[in-house]
Amino acid sequence: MSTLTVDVVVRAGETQVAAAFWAAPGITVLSGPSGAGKSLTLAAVAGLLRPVAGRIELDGTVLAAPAAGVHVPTQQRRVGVVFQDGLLLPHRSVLDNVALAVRTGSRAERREQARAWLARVDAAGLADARPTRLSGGERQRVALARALAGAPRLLLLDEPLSALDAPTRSRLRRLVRDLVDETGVIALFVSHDATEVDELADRIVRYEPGRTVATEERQARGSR
Amino acid sequence: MLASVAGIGLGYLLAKGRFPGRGVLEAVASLPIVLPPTVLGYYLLVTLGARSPLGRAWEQVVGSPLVFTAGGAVVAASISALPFVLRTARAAIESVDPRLEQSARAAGLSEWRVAAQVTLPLARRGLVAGVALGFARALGDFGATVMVAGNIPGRTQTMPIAVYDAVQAGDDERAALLALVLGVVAVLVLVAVNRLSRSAV
Repeated sequence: MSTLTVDVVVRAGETQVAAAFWAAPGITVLSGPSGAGKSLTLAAVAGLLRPVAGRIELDGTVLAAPAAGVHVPTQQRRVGVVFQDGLLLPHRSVLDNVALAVRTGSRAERREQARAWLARVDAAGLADARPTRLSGGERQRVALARALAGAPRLLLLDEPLSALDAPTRSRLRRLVRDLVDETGVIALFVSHDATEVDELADRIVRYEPGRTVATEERQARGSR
Repeated sequence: MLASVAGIGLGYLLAKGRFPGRGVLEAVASLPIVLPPTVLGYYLLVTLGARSPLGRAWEQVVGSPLVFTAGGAVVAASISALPFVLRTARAAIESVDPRLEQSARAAGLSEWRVAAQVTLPLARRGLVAGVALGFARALGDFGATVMVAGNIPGRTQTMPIAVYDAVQAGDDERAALLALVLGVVAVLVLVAVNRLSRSAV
């Protein structure tokens, strides 16, 4: 079974966090007050920030270890990332946005795969739309499709639902759950929403400002 | 053209790059703004002239000297336009949301593709504005051009130099016409640049 091990110190400006936990396929929620360093941890796992100490390992491969000078570039880490506001490229169509993230195949095949992913997140009808025209929920569906289109080993979700209204949030929670179960990906989900934590977490990593304090395993819950 | 490619390239480098000598490079690239154009032209003449290593290399490859030719006029005008393109391009590139570039990186795009498919397209309005500004500046350059390329009617005489010539020769009609053309182009470019930078927000 694939495993992500994180034991790092990450710093950006004034904020510093010491994070230590491991994650397996399923959803690991990083939970705690804002400013605790959850997003910093995620950025380090994605390779967008270099940790100042420690190491990040995925299935025995070191992704980052500053002491040994190891830093695998983001592009080679096979991660899918969804931020709070989706961050779709505003100058490309929805389909292009997803197709850009597909890593293999001809141009036509990549577009075909992108269409399949859009269909999977119930956004097939949006393929030709401009990202700026989408509602918040639609945007996050597309962002999920883009994140998964590259067949990532890690799915990194940074408060992906926090900008949405309650009914949309609830629908997308179910979608995230299903997508993670189908793909068997290791998902890290940053959240400070109690419902999200309760409904989604297979494992909870608790943060206090500046560090992780505990990891709780949650027993396999029945079907929702 | 020369200034566009060099300016956007350097602009990207200066906006993104963190390397030793960055400050020096930026200062050198901005020199044409503050140097008197004739001084700039003088240094170009020294660097590119028939007796300099660069000038000699050019002559060997192309077969004719660079200075006092139309090519020389292009180089001189481009150098004086470079900082305008560079600064506008750099500002445009820096105004692109870095998180968009990060999410493109996470999606597996190489640094080249991030630049070509994310950063530059998103900065395009600013880039076009910079090029337009540089074009107007290059069109209007007098001092540097006259030093490097001379003033040979029909070959290296640019419009601003022709205006000067016409006034000296007492040909007021010709001077007025040329000045009008240059003035209109300058105003058009400014209007275009303002439009672009306003709607870019």
